[in-house]
Amino acid sequence: MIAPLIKMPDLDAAASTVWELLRQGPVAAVLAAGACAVAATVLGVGWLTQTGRLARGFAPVQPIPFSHRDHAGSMAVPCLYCHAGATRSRHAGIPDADVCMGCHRVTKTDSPSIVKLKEASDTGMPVAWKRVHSLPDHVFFDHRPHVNAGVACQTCHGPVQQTAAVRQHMSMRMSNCLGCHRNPKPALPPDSAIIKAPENCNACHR
Amino acid sequence: MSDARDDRLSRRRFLGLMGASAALASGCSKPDRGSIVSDAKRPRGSTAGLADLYATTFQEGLDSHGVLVRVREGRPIHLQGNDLHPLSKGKAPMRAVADILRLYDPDRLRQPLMGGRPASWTGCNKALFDAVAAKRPKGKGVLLLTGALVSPTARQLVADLEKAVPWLRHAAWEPALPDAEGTALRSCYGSRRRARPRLDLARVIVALEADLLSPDKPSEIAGFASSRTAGPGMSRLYAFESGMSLTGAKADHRFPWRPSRSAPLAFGLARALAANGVPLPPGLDASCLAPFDLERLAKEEGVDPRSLSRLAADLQEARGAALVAAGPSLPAEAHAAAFLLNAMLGAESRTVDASLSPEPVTLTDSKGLRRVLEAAASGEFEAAVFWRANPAYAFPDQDLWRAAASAIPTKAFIGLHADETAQDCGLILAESHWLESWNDFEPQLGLLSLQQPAIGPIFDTHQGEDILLAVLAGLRPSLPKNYRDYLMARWKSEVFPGRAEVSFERFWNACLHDGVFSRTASPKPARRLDQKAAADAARRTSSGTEAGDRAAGFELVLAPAASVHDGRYANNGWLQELPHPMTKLAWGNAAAVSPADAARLGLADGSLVELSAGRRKAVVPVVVQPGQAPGTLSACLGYGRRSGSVARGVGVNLYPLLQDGSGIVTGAGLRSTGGSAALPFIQRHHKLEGRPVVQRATVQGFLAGKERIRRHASMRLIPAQRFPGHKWGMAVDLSRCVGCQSCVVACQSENNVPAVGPERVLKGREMHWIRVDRYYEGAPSSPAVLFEPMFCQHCDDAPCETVCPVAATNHSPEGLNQMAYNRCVGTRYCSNNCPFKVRRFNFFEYAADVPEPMSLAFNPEVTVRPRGVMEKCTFCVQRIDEGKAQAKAAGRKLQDGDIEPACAAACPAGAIVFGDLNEPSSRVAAASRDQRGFKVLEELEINPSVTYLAGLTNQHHGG
Repeated sequence: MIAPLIKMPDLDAAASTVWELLRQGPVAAVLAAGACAVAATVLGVGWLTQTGRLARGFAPVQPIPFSHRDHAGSMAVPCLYCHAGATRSRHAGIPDADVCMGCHRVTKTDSPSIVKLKEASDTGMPVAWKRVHSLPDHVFFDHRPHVNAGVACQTCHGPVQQTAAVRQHMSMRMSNCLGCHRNPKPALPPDSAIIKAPENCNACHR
Repeated sequence: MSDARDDRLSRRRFLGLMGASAALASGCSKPDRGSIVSDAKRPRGSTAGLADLYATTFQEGLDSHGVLVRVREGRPIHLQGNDLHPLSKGKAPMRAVADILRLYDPDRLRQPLMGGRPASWTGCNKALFDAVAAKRPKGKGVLLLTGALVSPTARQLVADLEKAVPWLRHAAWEPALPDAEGTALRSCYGSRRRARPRLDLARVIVALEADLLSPDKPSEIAGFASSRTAGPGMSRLYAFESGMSLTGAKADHRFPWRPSRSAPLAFGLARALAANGVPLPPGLDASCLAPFDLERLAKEEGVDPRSLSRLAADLQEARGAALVAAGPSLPAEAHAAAFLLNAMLGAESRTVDASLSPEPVTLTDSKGLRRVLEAAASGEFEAAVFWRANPAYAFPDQDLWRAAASAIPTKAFIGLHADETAQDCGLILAESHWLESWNDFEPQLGLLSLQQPAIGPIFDTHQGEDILLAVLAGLRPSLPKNYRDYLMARWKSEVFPGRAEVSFERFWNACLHDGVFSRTASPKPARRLDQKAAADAARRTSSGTEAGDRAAGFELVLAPAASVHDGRYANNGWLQELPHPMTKLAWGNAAAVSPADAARLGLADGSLVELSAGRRKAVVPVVVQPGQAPGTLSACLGYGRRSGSVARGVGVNLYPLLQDGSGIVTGAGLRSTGGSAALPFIQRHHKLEGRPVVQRATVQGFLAGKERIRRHASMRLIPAQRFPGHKWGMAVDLSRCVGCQSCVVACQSENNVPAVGPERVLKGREMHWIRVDRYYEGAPSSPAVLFEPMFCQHCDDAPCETVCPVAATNHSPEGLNQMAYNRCVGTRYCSNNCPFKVRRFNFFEYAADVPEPMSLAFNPEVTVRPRGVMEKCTFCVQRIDEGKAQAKAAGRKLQDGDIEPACAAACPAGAIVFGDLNEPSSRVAAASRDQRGFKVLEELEINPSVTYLAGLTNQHHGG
């Protein structure tokens, strides 16, 4: 039913139609032109703003300009030191202010950001970090099996250790998940025995 | 999916482009995906995304139960039993599970109010202190009316308060708890200590108007279920009752019986036993039993006299393992008669165990409360405090209540909701929910159970004990500042063993962790029946029965509802939508009449009748209840509330019909009004129509191989589906299932199942993922009852899957019939093609109707379904995934029992078993091989993953 609709319009025929309408009267012509314009705009804007297109590279300004390049890159702090939930829980987790203060009680204590952090730790008012990766509510991604199978964090999150501000690296479309689930080899360590990941609905949706 | 295909403007891609454009048009602002708020200080051992369990205690009426609260990111989302609690044994009562919704009830009081305006706690505490304790007000007294105070520490606090404020008069009152049992206990044993019925040890159980298997008694249900294994030790349950209860439904022999004939029956059995040589308690005058003749009684009630003499013989045979229980609504004489029978049968300290029963809770009986309110009406009290008591709703004599209320100048109210009583009070003190409170309980001597908050107060509330402590602290400044410290101080001085090796802090933390602390307690000596009291009761019964015979009218039994109880849970949508276990009526109450009376009076389901007790009247709809004893009516209390956005106007308040603290109204009038009401039943068809959808057998016939379970031979032409890894399955033992519907509530809480309201239930649009079907078999005057929990059967060849045009429902490689909500377009073909009617359709955006903060009760592991999609039982796939992920993360193999769906975890009878059918040693695989196993609608060749085990009954030989 949809197929005839999406066939690219025959430009000649369209032009003659427009011509016919123009000949019939200006109101009809304006309406037809308007309809064409709306359709072109909708499809154009839609194409420009596809989930996969705009979502990638999304890097909101964080309340504290935390740099993964400094921490995970230069200082080589392991990812799991702060995101300790990744092996045990669905969520990798954002570290609580006390984890940061473990070092920053003595390091860079006069930086305005650390003052902010200390305030959070002292008052118990948590820091509201801006969400970078967002999945629809009916998707239940679980970090555990991925991390425990040896999938590197960077496979999905990109070279976080090289970037100052976290940005979305991967498109969050289902085809992206399925691509890897159908052929997980490239994302896994070479000695991994896993050849397939689940593709049934309940693997992610429930 | 190849790249070439991707580039074409496929249907999916076209829709995607249009959708993205629409999304941009509607939300064309700065992209913001919200915030992730991390903890400032994460509690040690807690991980985001993993649930924490906290042990606490739920109390209701005179009982307390150990529960575990599942907390996710700081909010309680689900409740289950505490397996370390030696009485609860991992099972929580149904209403405790449902009460999580009351924690988030938007109707709760959000801050203290003074004269209807929000006020500060400092101001309110001072106002309460001035009214109650500052000085004796004008030479008058102050009334403190509470619910039953079960916590030893709370009792201590009130006792301290009474000592410090000599003009304070405390009355504790439970509106739906009749006086009779307490009266009988005091006269027959000298103490109101209640015994614990040990259904696990009893072989012959006689229930006189007693619902031993109601869902608020998980340990009794568990005990009964454990005694229903096929074999020589299988218990036999006799029930004599007016209305059909769960106990009657499970009884091997049920006799429709007027409650007024319960005491004569019990005395008649005692006489028959004595005549057969069972010794009467020493000193009991046998002549007092002479008037009770079983044969005459049987004739009066239309029962075969031989069945009663067989019962007497059965009881005699089971001496030491027999149990007679009288229901709370029966008069004191019936309780005395039951005590007498238990004494003769050697039940004391065996099946009726009072040796470790805690000290009885002080209660003011109905006469006492009437005296208190009369004193109030005559101006004896200058002030009154109402705490967990709602006399404006539940006190039967509302004229007296209004007179009393208007004669008390200063009234303060402590409670969760601005209920009927609060509306009369000038000072309203918002109370915390029990999940926000501290307390302790002693359900058994030597067993202490702690209540701790699972969440900080959501609103600006204080727990009632804290409010009273603030009053007391005004007189004794040395007292601890809050109730937690008061509780800890009492534990330090009275409970802490004081050994040197552990500090009190470590001891306290260990007790909080476990939820319970056991210490050695010396059992009380066995109670001795006062034979004179028993003989007096027999004499009163014989004279009273003759007098009662002359009174015309119905015997009306009023008992608290299984769901909303005495009305305190009436604002809970889950419990309102939970149907009555027998009538299957949701959202309201009705008077059950026997089929014979209905035919005589021309009544049908929904006919409106006027019930009258003396000059008080109430108009209620009628339900024709198979098995109801002719001449009796049964109805539930707890409905007809005048406050609460959910509760208001649902059902009829029948408290005004109660008289003299008895649960039974004799000589009740019934007059048809000619009107009728449409009743929201969850189940509308009650017969099996000869199909073996639910099966049962007698244990004798089954063991002898005479009665076989009907199976359907497969005539498969195509090969069976193969599931190489796990294959999830379930087994439901209908011998164990008592139909209590705890599973329904647990599922609702676990799976974010909405309640839809009476109008939509009337259209058959309820959303329960699991329901308990109830069928009647046999004559409507005395039918057999069969229960069958029904939920998605996860058929291997599921008929729903083949008709879905968008493949939204399909099969997982582990045998789950999975449902992808985001694919579903709502054609409802699947529901039409499901032979079990277990698929539910979201006709409305129910989640959008959930008022804040109730959305906090949602389980974050389960999608909240939008309008227009189908949903159904998933076998709690979130728990399966979690179990698998945890086993994997721990590097071990998944074990049987690692995964327990919410229904199985909640089932007090242990009737539901879940596991891997491919694992031959798993419990579910063993159950599915059981001789009693059958599948529902097996002839459709759809291969359900759920095996039902036929229920066995244990009738006395010869019927």
